[in-house]
Amino acid sequence: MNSLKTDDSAREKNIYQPHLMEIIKVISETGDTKTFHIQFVEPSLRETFSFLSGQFAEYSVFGEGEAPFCISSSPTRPDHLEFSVKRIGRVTHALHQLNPGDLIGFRGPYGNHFPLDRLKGKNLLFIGGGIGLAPLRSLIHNVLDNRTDYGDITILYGARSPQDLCFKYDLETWGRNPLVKMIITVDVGDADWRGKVGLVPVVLEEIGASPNGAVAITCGPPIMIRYTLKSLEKLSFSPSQIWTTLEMKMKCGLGKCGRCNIGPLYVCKDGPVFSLEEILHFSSDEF
Amino acid sequence: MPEKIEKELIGIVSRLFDEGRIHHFLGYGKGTVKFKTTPLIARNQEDLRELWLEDFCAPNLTLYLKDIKGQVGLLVKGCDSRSLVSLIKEGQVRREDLYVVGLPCPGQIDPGKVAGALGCESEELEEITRRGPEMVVRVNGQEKTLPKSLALMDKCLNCPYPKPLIFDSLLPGEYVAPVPGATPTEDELCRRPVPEKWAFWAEQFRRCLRCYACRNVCPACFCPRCIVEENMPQWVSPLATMGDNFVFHLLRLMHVAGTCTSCGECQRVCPMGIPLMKLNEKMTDDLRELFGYVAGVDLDRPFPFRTYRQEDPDDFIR
Amino acid sequence: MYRKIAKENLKKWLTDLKTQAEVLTPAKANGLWTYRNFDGRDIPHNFQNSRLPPKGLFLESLRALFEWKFPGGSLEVRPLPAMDGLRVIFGLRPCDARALKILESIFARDYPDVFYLRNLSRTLLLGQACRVQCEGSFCSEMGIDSQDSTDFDIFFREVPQGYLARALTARGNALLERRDLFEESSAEEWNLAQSKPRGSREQPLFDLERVKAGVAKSFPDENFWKRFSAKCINCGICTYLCPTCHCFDLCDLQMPGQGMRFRCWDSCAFADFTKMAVHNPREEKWRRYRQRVSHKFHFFYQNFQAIACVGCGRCVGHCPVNLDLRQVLLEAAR
Repeated sequence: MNSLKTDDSAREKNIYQPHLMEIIKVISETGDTKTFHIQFVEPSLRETFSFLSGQFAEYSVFGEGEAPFCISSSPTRPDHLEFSVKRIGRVTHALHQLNPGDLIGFRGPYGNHFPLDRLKGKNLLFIGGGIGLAPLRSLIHNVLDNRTDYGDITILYGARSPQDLCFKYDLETWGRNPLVKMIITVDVGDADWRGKVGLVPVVLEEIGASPNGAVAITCGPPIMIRYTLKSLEKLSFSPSQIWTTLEMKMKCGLGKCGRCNIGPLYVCKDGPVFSLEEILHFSSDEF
Repeated sequence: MPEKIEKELIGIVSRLFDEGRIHHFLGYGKGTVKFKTTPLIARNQEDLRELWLEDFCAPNLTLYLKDIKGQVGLLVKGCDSRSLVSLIKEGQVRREDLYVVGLPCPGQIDPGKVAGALGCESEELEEITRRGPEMVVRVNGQEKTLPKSLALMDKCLNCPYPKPLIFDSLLPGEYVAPVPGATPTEDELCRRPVPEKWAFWAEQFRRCLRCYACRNVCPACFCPRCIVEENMPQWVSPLATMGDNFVFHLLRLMHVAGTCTSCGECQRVCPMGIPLMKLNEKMTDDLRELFGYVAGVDLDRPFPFRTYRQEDPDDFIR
Repeated sequence: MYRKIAKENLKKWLTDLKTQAEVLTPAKANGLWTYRNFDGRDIPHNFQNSRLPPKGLFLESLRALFEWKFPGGSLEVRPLPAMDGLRVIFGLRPCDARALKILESIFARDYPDVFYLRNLSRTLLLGQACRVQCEGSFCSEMGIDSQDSTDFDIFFREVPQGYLARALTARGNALLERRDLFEESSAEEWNLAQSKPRGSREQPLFDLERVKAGVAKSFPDENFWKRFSAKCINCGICTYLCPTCHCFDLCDLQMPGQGMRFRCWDSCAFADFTKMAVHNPREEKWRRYRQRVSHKFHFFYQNFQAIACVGCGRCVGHCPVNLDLRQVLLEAAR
């Protein structure tokens, strides 16, 4: 009965197994946030790996677990990858214990990406809050590395306090760039703070931005996003002109485990980048 | 249970709603599958129309006092009233907030036992009705009879407290009487050698799905955040391996010791038929033997694990 | 291809198959119906359906994915192989087989899950027509015929003399080539053996199109969902007993010097399912219940053109508080 054979299709790859990554640098952004620079242990992967701004990956600390974080470096600077982590749960606590030389797991890239083709030629308004700058940062570097493809670039970034500002080295670089308008604000200043004080949405309305030929991209804490969207509406930005990343608990990153399912969408597959138009389109009161 | 008892109950509860004395009433509704009732969470008089008390009122309604706070009315059988005593002692509910209606219970039917006794599948049972000291069972169109002792849940055969210990009103009705010849013998599993006991429970816990129905249906498990949900540190792995299931069940057993009244809901709802009551019975036997304590009976008797007496068996603190 | 086989010959056939494959048939274990290694016993006459759906044989409740070790001090990560070896499962029901097809769409798309797909490809599905309508079931309303199904390799109908068999795939055809055990049969003989399961309804319980539309429309109706979910105790029975539910978790098991990552069953009914560090979008149980029903009857359909429910009735029969999905669907369809 030799017809009783298994149907050996070419579906042999183990989709759950991560690649090994070596940590090459750890930067303490704030008291509870760190940025990790990582590189594939396997040299051939360093050449072949590619991703697009907005995509995320699943990072493993073997024995503790796996968690999704966006890839915050830009595809235009591929010598290593970067991601940023706020210490808040089991996996992030474990990550924060790690040092250069330690190995972690990496699965990705997953998800969709910022629609670069829709941004070309437009004036870009980046609005970030706290660690929300991490996904934006990939796009900002990407855009700045191809500066002539885009119109005016404005970056509005805020944090709760000067101590909570992330990516200070980037803020400095962008501040010195004559082709970028950089505005930094904090909710609450301190004795040494000489910059702006004010909530991001409020400052947004102050600086005012014209929606003509513009696209706004915003990431940050849910409450900041909620009010930023309101402010953008006041400034006459239409929902199709606004892009953001949606936060929903993700686990497998593969559109299978069901955790990030919202309406007919899987945030890990159809997102995490969505336009406000898309978000308003599917009925949900769930965020 | 005759219709007039339902009417009497509706009368009592309607008045309670009218007077604003309660905002919810927990009762029973007719089940949509055989041999089951459903918990009825009535918020007004209209909801009471679904009240159904004829039979199979097995669920322990005190479970919902975990979620529904404040002025609540509820039906309790004898065993349920003991859960209520435990909850009051644990400070989870205030006696004065509740309006308790005692429900006489003639013993709850266990369809699995009936099927076993008649040598058929549970699915083949069509109807079970009481007739005096017997059960009349219709199986595959045929009528058979069965003595009550073979049809009632094990926990009912020698019910220690058929009459509710707490009530504001008591409905009339029949109470389960001790079934002659069904004395509770110590579970013979206790007397077997350890390797056999281990093999028995290993087989049971291999089958546990970690659906947590046992924990969620238990009135004694009222922790807002269960220890298994804690992952820093991960005390109990969420993986449903035999070993971790062992830990989960024994941990839970010890956590509810002193509050668990052996109401049997955990075993009744387990989809895999794991005999959890064996664990509860052993625990309550040990508690009685070591501390002279029986849960859910005495509102004033302090918990054994929160008080110290010279005679306590542990010698680490003398 | 149509064949027929006498009862004793069926047992002989299954016994012979054991030389090449693991053969599972319905059996009682620990008081519950399940699929067990065939040991020459009679195919049980009073088997309706297994307590746990056969999905557990394909999407295992615990599945080790890969392991890590530190041989000589350096970290090594190795994949763990998918299960191998041929399997034949006899006595499956049309509802459960349809569920496997539904699950396949999730596990085959985008990133194919080798563990699930290998389990599928190494298993021959032999189904059997139902004699009894399971309590709580509404399979026919979900478009599943308990008497006929093309979701198998071979489908059997029991007749007084034995069984009629209808091969539906090439693999099924090949299995029926045992001329010494199987006799020729025909479509006519097959059709003559059509019967209705005992206890089946005269009128359908609901119209599926109206249910789909109703569930979609009811999404924003908070009170609708609150009313039905009020008695839910947030256990995982409905999800774990459901043949189409497939939500899973990825969990590490660390032992001294080595560890493994598992894929394990999870339930959207659990309060922590969507919990993030600072926020849980489905904290309230009515939201979780709404998500479960809407996902099965609306959102899954939008993605896969199939409803993620086969009406097997297990959730209805075993919910500890008798939360009856049929009542919810009927109300939504009104």
